[in-house]
Amino acid sequence: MSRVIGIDLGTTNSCVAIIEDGQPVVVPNTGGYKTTPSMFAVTEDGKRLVGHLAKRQAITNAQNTVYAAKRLIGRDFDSAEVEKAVSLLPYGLVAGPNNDTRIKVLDRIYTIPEVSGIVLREMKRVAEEYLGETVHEAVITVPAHFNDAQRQTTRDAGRIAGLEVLRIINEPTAAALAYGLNRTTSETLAVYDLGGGTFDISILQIGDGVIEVRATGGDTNLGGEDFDHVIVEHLLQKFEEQEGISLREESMALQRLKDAAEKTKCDLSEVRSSEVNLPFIAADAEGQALHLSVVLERELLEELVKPPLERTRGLCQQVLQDANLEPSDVEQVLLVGGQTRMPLCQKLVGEFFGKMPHKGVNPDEVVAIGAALQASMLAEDQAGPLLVDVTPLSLGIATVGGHAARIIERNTTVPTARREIFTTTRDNQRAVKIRVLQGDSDKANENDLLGEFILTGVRAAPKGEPEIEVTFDIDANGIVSVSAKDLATNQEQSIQVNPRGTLTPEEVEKLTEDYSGDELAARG
Amino acid sequence: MGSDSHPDNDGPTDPEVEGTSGKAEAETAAATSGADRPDEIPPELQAEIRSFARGLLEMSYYEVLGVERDADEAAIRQAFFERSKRYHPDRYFSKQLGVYQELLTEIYKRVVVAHEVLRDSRLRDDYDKRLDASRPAAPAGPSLRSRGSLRSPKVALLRLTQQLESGRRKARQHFEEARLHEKRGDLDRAIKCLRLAMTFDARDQTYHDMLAELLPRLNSERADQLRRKVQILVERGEFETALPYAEEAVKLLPADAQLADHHALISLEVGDTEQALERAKSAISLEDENAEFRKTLGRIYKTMNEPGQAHKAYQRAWELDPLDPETKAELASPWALKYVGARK
Repeated sequence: MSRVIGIDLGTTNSCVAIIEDGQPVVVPNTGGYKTTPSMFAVTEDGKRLVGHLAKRQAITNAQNTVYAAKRLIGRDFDSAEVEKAVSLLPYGLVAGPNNDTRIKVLDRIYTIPEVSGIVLREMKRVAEEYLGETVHEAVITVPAHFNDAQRQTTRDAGRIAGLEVLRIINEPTAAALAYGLNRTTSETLAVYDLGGGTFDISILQIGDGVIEVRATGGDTNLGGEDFDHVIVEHLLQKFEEQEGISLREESMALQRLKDAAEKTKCDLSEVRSSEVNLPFIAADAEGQALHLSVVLERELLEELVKPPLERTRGLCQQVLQDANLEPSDVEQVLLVGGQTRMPLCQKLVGEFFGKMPHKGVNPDEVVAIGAALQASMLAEDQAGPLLVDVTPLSLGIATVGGHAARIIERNTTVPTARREIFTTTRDNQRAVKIRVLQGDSDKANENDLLGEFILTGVRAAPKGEPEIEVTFDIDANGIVSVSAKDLATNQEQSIQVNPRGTLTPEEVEKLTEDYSGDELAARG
Repeated sequence: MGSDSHPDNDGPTDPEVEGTSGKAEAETAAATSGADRPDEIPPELQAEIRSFARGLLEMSYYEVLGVERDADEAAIRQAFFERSKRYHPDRYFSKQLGVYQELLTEIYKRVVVAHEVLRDSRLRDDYDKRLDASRPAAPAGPSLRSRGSLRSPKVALLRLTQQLESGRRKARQHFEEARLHEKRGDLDRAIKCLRLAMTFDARDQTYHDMLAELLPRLNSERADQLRRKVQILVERGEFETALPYAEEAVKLLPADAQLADHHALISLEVGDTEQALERAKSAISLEDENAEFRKTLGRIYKTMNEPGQAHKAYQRAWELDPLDPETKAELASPWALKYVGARK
């Protein structure tokens, strides 16, 4: 039987782990690094690069280097997130046929699952090189707050990479699995996960051989990249003040600023002050070279990132409320994601929970380790910790007046089934349309529509009299089935809500073939 | 978790029949049919799952979790974790579960709801009130959140009917499958399907009747196989290996004298003379006029150092078959000769 792997597909970096002799191992790539940049580039002469190779040439080839594609997963092209991304990203975004977002590199258009698939294939290759055998199955992690479409898109990406995705699990949950390995005492754990692009907060109960997710929450659009952007914005303004020249349209300058911002941010976690020095960043009207030189203090950085960081506090409160707990009930806090290295972030978490966070795990690797543990538990029948997970978003149906009636609340343990009785709104109404929604808004149109169907043959009766029972069912794989039944006539109608990614199964099939055997990272 | 908290709440209607219990199934399956099984979990667990699923609708949330009415938060969490380790479908992710997949999932969904209610003091209070009010009748419906059922008894009744109906439907499907397997001669599978049918609907007499008809057939089929196996092993002198098969075969066919005799011989060879004696006697009582059985008895008494009894047995054997060389040799040997006069 071939080996299974766990992949943390991050916004900025990705990481792959395996289980060897019962112990998790983070697999280093050819360069010896345990994480690989989630970047993909095409050079002028059409050569495709992934990971460190793509990152190394990003400045000189900014327009054709794709990074942070995870932030675009499952986003409609006309959404606010994409609108913001268009203004920030140096590479080109275009609308796909279903209003999905696609990326234009040189003269080819790539779908998001394709780009993620390229990164995943690289991680697969890293593992295969280490193991000396082919790998076919994986568990991949996603932010806890990803919706169905985003999860399905990630599955599609796995398929394109030639991987059968055994399960998609949440990043903070994976971290808890890694932390909970070999722990037999009962403990209430909070996982604060601030990564490159997303923020997740989860409350978990750890017991002997079981890890139960109590509640999870977060924001799929809040992370280290946002911190980088506020720094870039600050540098842009400084430069405008000093030289009277805007760099906003200069993609190469923007890429250099972004790199410098990320590096300065990391430096300021260690030192109190750091100088950003970017010579020859632009030229003035006379063609004279201009240099950017700005000193950043940690205080200033903390001032700049405070608004996004403060948002995490409110989300922590929300999730504790969902779990029916007080901050003091949390016995241990785990920090995950590179962004939690920031002292201000650690301070906020320490203050909120009233205790210092746990220092024993590597925030960059712990998620991949957890994914590998889950993969091994599922496929190799290892007696690893059993994960009892919850559904991250509420499920329900649309009702009269544009409302959403929740049937399964978010943070309900899965697998589960719930039923509710509904009725008709018109006299002698013979058919009812069931629109299946995912999301936490009370307004139907603010939720994601997962599918719809019509129940016919309803008993003719005055409005409000028929009893239509709607049943929601979620299995352990997270697949949702919905049925509706007229209790008087026993007429029944049901659907399995097939999570809709951005690609049709045929497209995924074709891309899987296109990329199989493709040596992407031309090393050397 | 000890077996005492195992939700085995079924009474005499349990279709488990002696001789086809888990152990026997496992051994015969391993010994005869090989690895071609749709369900890769141990038969004990299969039986446990069936039994739990069958009682599911009648069980209170406390029973579902296997805790006392006064269990505290920690005990409830502990019980939920234990149940999760046993019944969470992921625990058997890599296994081919066949129909057990569905049963496991149904059980675990119920465990989830029970835990959700009992860990929340407000929901638990509500539930306790309903539970007290409805005792000794079964506690209501499948889902606490179906507020409709709490308000309207009509809906609750409808739901219950509906549940029974869907149970009956599922039972029917398994029954049809059982008939197909029976036609193909796969009694083992047919019986499995029947059991599942009875899990979903224990009231339909057709299922009981068919099981009552199939079980003896399966038993004799199985016993035939076992008998052949025992025969071969005894001929090869592999008595220790033969012992468990012989024991099982005797249990399946208690009226088979030949089997009893084999079992006696095997028991004698492995040193269990008491068992051997009992089996030999039972063989004789089933078939009085068989020289072989008398010879077996003679051998046993000889080993037990009771020459008087041994001589009697060989004497009777000689009367039934005067040409048998073993009998003649024994009767002519020195230990036997001193009884010759006595008999006259």
